[in-house]
Amino acid sequence: MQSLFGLLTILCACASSAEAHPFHVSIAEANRNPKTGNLEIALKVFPGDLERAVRLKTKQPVDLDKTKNVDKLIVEYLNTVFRVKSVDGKRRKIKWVGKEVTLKDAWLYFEIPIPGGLEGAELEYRLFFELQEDQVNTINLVDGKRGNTLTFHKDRPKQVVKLAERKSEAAKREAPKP
Amino acid sequence: MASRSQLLLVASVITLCFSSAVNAQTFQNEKYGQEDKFRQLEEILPTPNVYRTASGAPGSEYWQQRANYVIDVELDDEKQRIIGSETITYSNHSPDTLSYIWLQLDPNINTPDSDAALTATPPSFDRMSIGALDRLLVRESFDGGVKIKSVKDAFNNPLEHTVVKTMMRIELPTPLASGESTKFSVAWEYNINNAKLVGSRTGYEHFEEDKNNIYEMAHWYPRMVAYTDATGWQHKQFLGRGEFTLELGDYVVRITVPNDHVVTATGVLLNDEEVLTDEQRQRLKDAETAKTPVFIVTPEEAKKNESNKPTGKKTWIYQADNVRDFAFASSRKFIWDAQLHNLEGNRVMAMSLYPNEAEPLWSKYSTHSIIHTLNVYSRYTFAYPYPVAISVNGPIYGMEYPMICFNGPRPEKDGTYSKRTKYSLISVIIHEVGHNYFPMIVNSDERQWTWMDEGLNTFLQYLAEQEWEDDYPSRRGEPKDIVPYMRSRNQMPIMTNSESILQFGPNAYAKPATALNILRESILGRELFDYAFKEYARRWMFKRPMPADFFRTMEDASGIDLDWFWRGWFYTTAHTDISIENLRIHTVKSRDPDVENKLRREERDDEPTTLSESRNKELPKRVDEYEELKDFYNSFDDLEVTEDDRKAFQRFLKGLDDHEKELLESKQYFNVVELRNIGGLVMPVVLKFEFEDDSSREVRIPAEIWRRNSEKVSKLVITNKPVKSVTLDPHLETADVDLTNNHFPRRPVKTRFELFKSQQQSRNEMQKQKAAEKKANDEKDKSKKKDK
Repeated sequence: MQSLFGLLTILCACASSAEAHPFHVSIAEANRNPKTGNLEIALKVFPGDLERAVRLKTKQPVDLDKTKNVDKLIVEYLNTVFRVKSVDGKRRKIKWVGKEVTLKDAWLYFEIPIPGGLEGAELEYRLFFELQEDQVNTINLVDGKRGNTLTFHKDRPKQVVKLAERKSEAAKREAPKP
Repeated sequence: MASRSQLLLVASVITLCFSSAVNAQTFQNEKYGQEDKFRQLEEILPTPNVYRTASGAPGSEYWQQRANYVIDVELDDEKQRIIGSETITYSNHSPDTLSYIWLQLDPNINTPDSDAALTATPPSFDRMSIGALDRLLVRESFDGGVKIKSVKDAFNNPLEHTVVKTMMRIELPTPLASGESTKFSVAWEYNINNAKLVGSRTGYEHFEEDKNNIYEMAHWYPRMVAYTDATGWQHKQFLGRGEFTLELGDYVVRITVPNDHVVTATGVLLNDEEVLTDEQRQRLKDAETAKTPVFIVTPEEAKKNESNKPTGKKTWIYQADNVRDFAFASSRKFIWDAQLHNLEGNRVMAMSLYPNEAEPLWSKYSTHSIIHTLNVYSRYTFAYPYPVAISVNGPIYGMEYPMICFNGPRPEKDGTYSKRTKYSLISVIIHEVGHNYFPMIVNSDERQWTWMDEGLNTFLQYLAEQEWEDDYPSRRGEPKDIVPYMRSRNQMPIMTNSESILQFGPNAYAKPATALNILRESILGRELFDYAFKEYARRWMFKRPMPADFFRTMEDASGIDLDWFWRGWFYTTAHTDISIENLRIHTVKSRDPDVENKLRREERDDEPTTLSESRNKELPKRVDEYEELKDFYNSFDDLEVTEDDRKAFQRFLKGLDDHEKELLESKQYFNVVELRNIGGLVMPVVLKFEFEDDSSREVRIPAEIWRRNSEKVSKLVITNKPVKSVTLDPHLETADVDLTNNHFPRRPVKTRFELFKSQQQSRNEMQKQKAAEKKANDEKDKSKKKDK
């Protein structure tokens, strides 16, 4: 498949950027739990996007409130679009915790074991890229006193995690100004 | 004097800070090492002049161009084409002489070699859907560019013209002097895009079941490029995201369609007796006095029309005055409902057009949502000045034009719909109808600044939603909802051009809307804010404001300097994170030896015993062995109150006047709260003091507390009861991204994940208990039955 796309000179316009209601973002808060070593993730999406994406993958109608086994379908989808390789190069699967769906948004909660720590792990976060060209996914990572924000879009679906000292913590150790 | 400086360390801090962008910084104060967050914006904003004043109002010589259009257009339903000709009367109100003029040819964005196509980066090919692949291939082959057939002057002589991407320059045979008008005509045609394949703000939707189309037509005619005092000709090409920069004018548009289509458009219908049946006209009359929407075309009639074949063509004539654009929709599938609404004396016909696929949702909510929007928005700005307000269902999810907007949400095929679909529909209609105010009437430059219409409109949308029903699920507006975005590092300031913004929704919609809500609720208060916001809307109604005009008017009319607020929220990516670092409590000493010495003794007794002291205690002491070594000093306690002490105190009291005595007896606590600004954004400080007796008191301090030191300040608050704890931002009104440092003493704050997980677990515990109880009861029942 790759070579076929290589041959075509694809001139793609930003197909879905025309809406006056561009919701094409998701945001995740991820903390590494020092006790378990797992990355604990709370991921906020627009419920409609999630329904469309799972529908596209499973080819069956999906309603977050009514569909039976919808959590299982979500996990299957998440495992294809939110992927983590720990520093030893092994792909780590999602441990599902649960979800909260409101009218405004859907929060997805899951854990991913990352032996060897967050720094140097590879994160792939291509949620909803198949739905909209201009999807932007953001994750706020925290590992104790270090952290970072990573942003993913179709030109950058994968990144190796680098962390930096978080200013809020560092600030406290600064010598007071005269 | 008591001092509590213990900081509890909390593990679950989730703040990420970044050095705030100092792109707007024109000076450096290296010795002090701090940015002056209250420095005036005059170094950044354009210099006031005769066109735009320092108060933010249009100046004494404010001008704008005007373009009036007379257009004939035919919609070819067989080949999905637009064939048009127009005469534009262009008036030059600028002080300049123009030797050429520019037109916008927006459909040229839909050519395979447009800048929009050429500069698009590839999609992600992993798990791409067939539909997405189709869209790519169609986009590659579809030619939606405009064919210009002729450009002529008023005497039918051809005019020289040059197409430059999505614009066209026309040479004027004689330069157009200030104060003069010119008339010219253009003939053109182009292929309409299938909106489901070539995404856009316009296009048609094909219904496979009944072979019919719905057309939602926008930027379908060559439009004047705006010529302004701020940018000259707006030469930013159409790339798809930055919307439109347009001139106001009057329109007469004759729209020719198959004779069984229903056409709705910007403006009022002039020839209703030619295109509507007598029954439809009677129903429209009924709608003028109706209390609820009236069907002009019923669902049954629309269903029947779907199997029609046209027997010819029909021309619908629409007139619209003082609009910056003209859009229309056409289909034989339309149901049509209407209700006249009287708005502060203005008669507005609110109407909705939608296919049966949109039922039963649309007849229930669309027209109601229109009227609700007009009511709320008019209260905060000006009375809606146009004669109609229309919402159309078709392929476009949400897009606004003067008097008419296109909205997408529909129920499922079986007619059921989820709660989310319902609220999405109401919200999108409020949003798109709301755009009539910003930018259709307050005519801001959308190609340059998305936030000036989307941010202001999203703010008013939030207000309108909250007046629809209690706890309406608004997505944008509440400060706490923007916290994850504010916390993220990869952002751009709101003051960024439309085409360059990374996270469009949070940047240009949610953040400015939330900022305005915070300005209203926590900084100016509702009364001052509403007065100033209304003043801005009224000053710039049917005029073209720039960002500085908004910033300046809000200050000018409220009487509050807000440069720090615009600087922080609009020019930087700093966020709110204020921390309570310490609380020091001071009290007045009573000087009464019986009271003070007791306190000091308690303090002394509280001091810990050192290890050596405790071990030495058991050693035999020489003075115990030889009692004679003990004298007065061995039994003297310097905290023992003597009669001399008491007499001295009485003498001291006698020397005091009544006021001094009162002060001495009053039990006042002088609480000094030490604050640190970690996020960089200066914001008001809201503190809630809780007392030992469980009562509380709130103190609101303006942001100016940070004006000399924007990183560290202290605040003295005097109370007559001892303080138990202090909470910063108790009502979550500042979008503070780290709540773990908002309490003194520190309280553990769980992450969202931890909170959810603990709730899950406790729920499971309850379930376990319930299950155990049930089991016990069941067994009881069983044993009872056995007994019988």
